[in-house]
Amino acid sequence: MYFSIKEQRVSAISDMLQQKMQAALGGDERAYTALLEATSQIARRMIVRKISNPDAAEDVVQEVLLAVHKARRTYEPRRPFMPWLASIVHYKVNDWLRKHYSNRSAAHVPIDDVLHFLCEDVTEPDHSHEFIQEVMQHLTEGQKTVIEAMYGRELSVAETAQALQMSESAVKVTAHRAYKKLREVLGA
Amino acid sequence: MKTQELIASLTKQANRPVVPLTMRRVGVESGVIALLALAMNLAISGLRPDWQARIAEPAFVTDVISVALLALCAGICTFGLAYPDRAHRRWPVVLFWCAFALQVMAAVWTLWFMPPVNDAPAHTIECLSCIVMVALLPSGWLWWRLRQLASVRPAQMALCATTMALALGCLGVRMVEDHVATAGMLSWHYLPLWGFAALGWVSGKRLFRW
Repeated sequence: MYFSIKEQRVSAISDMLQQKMQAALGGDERAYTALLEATSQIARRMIVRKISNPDAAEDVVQEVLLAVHKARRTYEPRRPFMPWLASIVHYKVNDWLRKHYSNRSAAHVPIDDVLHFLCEDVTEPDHSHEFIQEVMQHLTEGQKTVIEAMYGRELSVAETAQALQMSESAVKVTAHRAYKKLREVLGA
Repeated sequence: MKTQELIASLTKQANRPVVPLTMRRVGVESGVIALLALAMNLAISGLRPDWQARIAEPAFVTDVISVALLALCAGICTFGLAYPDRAHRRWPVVLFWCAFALQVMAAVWTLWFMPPVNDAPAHTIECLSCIVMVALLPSGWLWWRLRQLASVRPAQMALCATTMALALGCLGVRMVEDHVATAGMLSWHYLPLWGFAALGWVSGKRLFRW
């Protein structure tokens, strides 16, 4: 059976962590320290793919370490360590994202300052086509393509992925980064 | 707090050996608790006097087997979901929902096809209170044990755990009460079981947060 070098390396790291965890469950403090340090590095790499804010990502890394500490009794020594850790990381990341987006959607935005805008004539378009094109220039080519497909041609995520020969998760990540950039530009 | 400080703090707390809570151990414990609850129920209330006649009825046997199967499958699913590296497996969840569907069909079949019995004692809230009493021990133990585990799907786990406890309660009550199956069984046995299961799903995220 052929394993790539990367797969062999991942397998070796997983075996090493499994041994560290077994030793840590036996009360070995040094093994536990090494395990937590390795866990924080692995978790950080997984988390920054979904949470771009470095402070928030570090908070989630610490949540993961706490979770690993609390849940270590659920780890069975004969089973591989990486799936156990990956499951905990995904759980904590999704938990953070859920709280983050629910806090944002429930945030109260005072409208007193913008009341005079609401009285303006809404039949005239606020933003010209040129303005939109100018704003879109701040995006990368890939981000522009995805936004044009999803909003210009009104394609769904799946249709966009098929048309651009990307995976659906890549489309979502690209769109998310484009929205973030547009918010920064429009908010500046 | 910096991450390195956190690691140092956690290491200081981990200087004693930790005995893993394996799924096998927890499964055996839950089996013992379930049998203990049923045995206590039988010891207090006694086996129903008409059990020999009831065992000959296909509807009664189907009903009892479907509820027992539901309790077993709910238990398997509960503990499958309670471990982070096992929660991604689909077969325990599929098994649970198949057993649930079977129990619903068995309940409907039992009540639909049973001939009407005159002067049958009615199922009342007393049935529900007995079910809850039988389910107290398994549900209390489950709540205590599951909080020591680490589910990444707490809502689903709570749904299965509640179903397991109440299915045991329904099974225990069917073994001791001499009421025949009537429509009242739906109101006082099965609808509460399904309702409490839904309540477990709603409250699971908060109860089993870690």
